[in-house]
Amino acid sequence: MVYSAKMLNDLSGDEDSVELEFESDSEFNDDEYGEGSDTSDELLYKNDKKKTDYLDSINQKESLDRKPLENGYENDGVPRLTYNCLTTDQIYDLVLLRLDRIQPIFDCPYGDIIVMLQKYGWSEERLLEDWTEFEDKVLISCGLKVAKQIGCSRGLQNHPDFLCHICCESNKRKSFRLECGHEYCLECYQHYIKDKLLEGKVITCMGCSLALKNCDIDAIAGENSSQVLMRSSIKGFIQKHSNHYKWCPFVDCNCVIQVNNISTLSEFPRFHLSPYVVCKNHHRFCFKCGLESHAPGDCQVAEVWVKMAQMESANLNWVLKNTKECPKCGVNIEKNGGCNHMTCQSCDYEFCWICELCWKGHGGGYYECTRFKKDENNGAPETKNSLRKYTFYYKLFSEHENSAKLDWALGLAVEQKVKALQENIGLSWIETQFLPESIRALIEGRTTLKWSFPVAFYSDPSHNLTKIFVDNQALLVGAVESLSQLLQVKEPQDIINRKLEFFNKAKFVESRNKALSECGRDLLCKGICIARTT
Amino acid sequence: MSSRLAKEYKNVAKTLRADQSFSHVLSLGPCSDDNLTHWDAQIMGPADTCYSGYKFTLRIQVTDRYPLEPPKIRFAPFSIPHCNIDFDSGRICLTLLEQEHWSPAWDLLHCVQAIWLLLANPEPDSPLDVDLACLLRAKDYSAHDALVCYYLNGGSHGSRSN
Repeated sequence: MVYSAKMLNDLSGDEDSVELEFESDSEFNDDEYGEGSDTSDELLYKNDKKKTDYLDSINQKESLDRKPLENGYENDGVPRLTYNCLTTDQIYDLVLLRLDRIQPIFDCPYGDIIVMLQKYGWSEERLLEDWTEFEDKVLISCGLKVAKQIGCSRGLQNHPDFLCHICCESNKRKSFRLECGHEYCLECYQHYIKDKLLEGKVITCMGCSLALKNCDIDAIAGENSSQVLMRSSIKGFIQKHSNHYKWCPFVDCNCVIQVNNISTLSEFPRFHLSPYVVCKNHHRFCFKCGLESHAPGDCQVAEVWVKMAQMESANLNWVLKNTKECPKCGVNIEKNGGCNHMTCQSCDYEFCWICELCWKGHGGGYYECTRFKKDENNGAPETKNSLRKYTFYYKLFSEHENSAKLDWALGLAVEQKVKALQENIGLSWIETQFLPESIRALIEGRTTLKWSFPVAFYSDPSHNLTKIFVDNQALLVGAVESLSQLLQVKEPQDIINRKLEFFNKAKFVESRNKALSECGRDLLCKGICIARTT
Repeated sequence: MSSRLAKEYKNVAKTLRADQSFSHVLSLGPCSDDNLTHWDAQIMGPADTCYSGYKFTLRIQVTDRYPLEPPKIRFAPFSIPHCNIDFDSGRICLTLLEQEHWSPAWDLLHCVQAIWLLLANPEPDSPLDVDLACLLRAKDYSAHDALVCYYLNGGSHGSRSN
């Protein structure tokens, strides 16, 4: 929550941090930070003696841009991204804010400037450059000026009997025309505009290149139609500038992350780190590859793993995902919650969903089932063994992926619980935040766990560090499972009574998560884990 | 939709009869009177090009959404070698015929006219026939024209519809 408040602050308070001259801003950053710029602030500016004038302003900008660090470990001499989380509507709102500033330069109505900006791909700089040189040409090329005045007025027209040249039907009462004199019935115009709204380009008269302004579009196709066009146009802009902007990859999330210092992006692979960004809905994803957070693996591990998974096991995925038989009585069990501690409804047998062994063996907080046991039977051919190894890890990966999805659903249920707590027990909002926070810790823990299996798969199993990694993995599994189980508690009063337990377990997951991520990064840095396509 | 096509049908007949500047359009009309969605056109190759003296057939299909959607127009298969036309299928690469650049204010005669102009003004930068486009880009016009002639005179199953 502190997070989003900070983001709002960025949006409203510091206009420079959300530059609208998108392109020029990036160039500016690139120049200032230099090629292969180093990471800590001192090093950043050490070589920049000439540019000391800028120093203060940039420093200030940096501090305003700076996001709170999640775990701090991104801070020890490694690159850091500064970014904003926006929606298309917010980006458009910022454009509108900018309009106030640049309107006096153009001395045209707002609607005209929007058309010009749209035509120029929202690049203020390019537009201004052309504008100062050939104002008239810009107006004509953007369809804002007719070549020959014929004295027609723009707008909706009423007629007793109008013959439209598009549909060739007469008896039309309402029509629309622009200064060019091309006039068509309202229905034809509506159909025409409806098709064009999602393209995001400037919509012109059907007969010539004169542009329809937002007010015209709203007048013809109904209120808020131009909003749809603007949204599509901004979307096109984001697509075109995908090195600065990325959509959050999570389903139904419409956040856009804008990174201010893209030059640092190239610094991450050297440290086997990934440029993670977190959107307003707490979705963490990698700005480089666009995948969800794949720590402890780097982009290379994730890419190779995903490719492998697509090739080898499109259906394996399905087989494993669905049901399992109770190891004791054989009844089919569907997993409908995040916890791996299963209790068979028909025979009360308690077992682990992953290894299908009795749960008792898992008791001491030590999870044997995430360890891949080498087949004692060495007679098996090499390929079969490697496929078995892959299947083993893939199974774990998909188990945790599935669990993470269920946890996400659990998170929504928790929101309800929080509301219930506030209403029934009269707790304040802040006092109930431990619940969403534990969910977040759980989901992040599980995501890390999930991506730790590819790392384990690609690591040299004989190396000591790999063994430590696997131990760390087991510890995180324990922490995650225990927290997951706690989150199944439904009774509101019970939840409140166990608040401290929630808090402790979530913190434990977080610290185990961090440890595993660091350990995985170590494996990558030392070359023990090497992702290869086979 | 149908009234628009009916009107175009009437106008086209009038224009072709009266306007000499459309003399290269030999015919343009629906294949049959009870179905206005399929049209045929015959055009002459533009003078002073390697297509001069040849007749070409266009097949036009109009969708329900016409004129909001552009018509689908192709040459008869295996009939015309041109760098923006696929020889085997007769498919035409012309921005005007794409939804994005289409305007409902244009009609079928406009389209036929635009295609006729394309014959004289090939666009080697967005080719469907790469070989012809390469020759044009290399400015080897005599080789280009010779290859076109070879096709037009029946080489490689060409000029089937002539």
